[in-house]
Amino acid sequence: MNILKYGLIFIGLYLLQLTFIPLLVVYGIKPDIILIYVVYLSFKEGRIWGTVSGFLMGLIEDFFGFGFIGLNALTKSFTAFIAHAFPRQILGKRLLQTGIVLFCCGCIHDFLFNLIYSFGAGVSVVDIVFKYAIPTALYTSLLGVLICAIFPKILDFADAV
Amino acid sequence: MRKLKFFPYAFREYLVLVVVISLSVGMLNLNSNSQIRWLQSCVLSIFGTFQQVVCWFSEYSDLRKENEQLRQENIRLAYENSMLKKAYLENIRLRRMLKLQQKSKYKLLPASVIGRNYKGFSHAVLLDIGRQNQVKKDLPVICSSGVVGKLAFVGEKFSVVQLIDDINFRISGLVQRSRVVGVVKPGPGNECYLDYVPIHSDVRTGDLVVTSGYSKIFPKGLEIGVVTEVHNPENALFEKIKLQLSANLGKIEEVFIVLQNQ
Repeated sequence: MNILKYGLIFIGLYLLQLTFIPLLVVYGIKPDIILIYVVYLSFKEGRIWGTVSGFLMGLIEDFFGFGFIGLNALTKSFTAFIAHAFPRQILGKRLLQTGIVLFCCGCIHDFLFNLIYSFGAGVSVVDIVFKYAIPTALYTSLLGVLICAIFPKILDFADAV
Repeated sequence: MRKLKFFPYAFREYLVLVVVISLSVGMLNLNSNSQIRWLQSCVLSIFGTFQQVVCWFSEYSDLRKENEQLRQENIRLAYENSMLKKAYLENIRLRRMLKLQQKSKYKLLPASVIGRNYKGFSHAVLLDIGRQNQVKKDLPVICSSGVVGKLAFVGEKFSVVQLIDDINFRISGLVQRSRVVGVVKPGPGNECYLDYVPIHSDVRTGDLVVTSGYSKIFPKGLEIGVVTEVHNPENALFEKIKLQLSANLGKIEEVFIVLQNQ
């Protein structure tokens, strides 16, 4: 695993997340490009590297993101772990399946994040699922599918099994 | 023996997961630890500097300066106007009670919003002032329209404001007309509610809600929002009151930190 290469890609994507992604906000919902990257790494490099990458990237997001330290680290590492439950062959040139995988991972990530963040604030699970988790996951998966459609080569690894 | 050695290897993925989750949960529990806060303060300094550079490139410097001066003047005048309106209403109330009180004024420190973080229920903004400007944690933050939030984290040069529409934010509110007290709390989906108001209390659509002064953080009389809906559910103890926040949190660029009462 080329740590330097992946680290530099992460820095680039995180700068995009901070500067460009806020321009894509729709009714307070914005996609999570880091999550797409975490899921991609989990599929490409395996579960262990995916989990560790998710933890490290989430931790950096926590320190730069004004929130609870450790929350993104927890949710992204767990999501990277769960992502590997999908077979690798589900990706590749099949954009719909890629979108479904990203949607499921996004739902898990956003549900966990908002559940822990709003713990004790009296927010119902239904509100968390339908007002934040599902819309954000849908938006993230759409962005992921768009990226895969524009850069199909990034999923070439899925066919070489 | 070989099976014993094989055991951790077979479950290495789960072991890694357990380790990272334990580390994450440990860090979540140690959020108020001084070393973590120091580390966050250092990171905030780097991030704040980067955000400032990004902000600078997005505007022409001369126009920005003139714009800033005019904006501060506008904010000051709008705030003064809003204070005069409140003073007028209060004067009427006090005259009715045949008493006169001194209206308190606040010492304000202006600050610029240089970054925003909206992720799920977490809503915060980054300001370009910090400990070097004599600000500290939990100071109230307002704009010309009303309450914006409070300082959640203060670094050396930059600070993080927890916005009033963050899901974990609570503030004691007072209906200006009828003096009914409640707790303002945000709901999911950018809504705000005035909670814990007993059923059949005198609250109407259009009523102005201000800070009650019962909190150690927010002084009395700062505008929070306007009542937009009032429901009296059957068999309930409290009314369901929806608010429209006065401050347009998505567009604020200049805010004031309330340093003290004078």
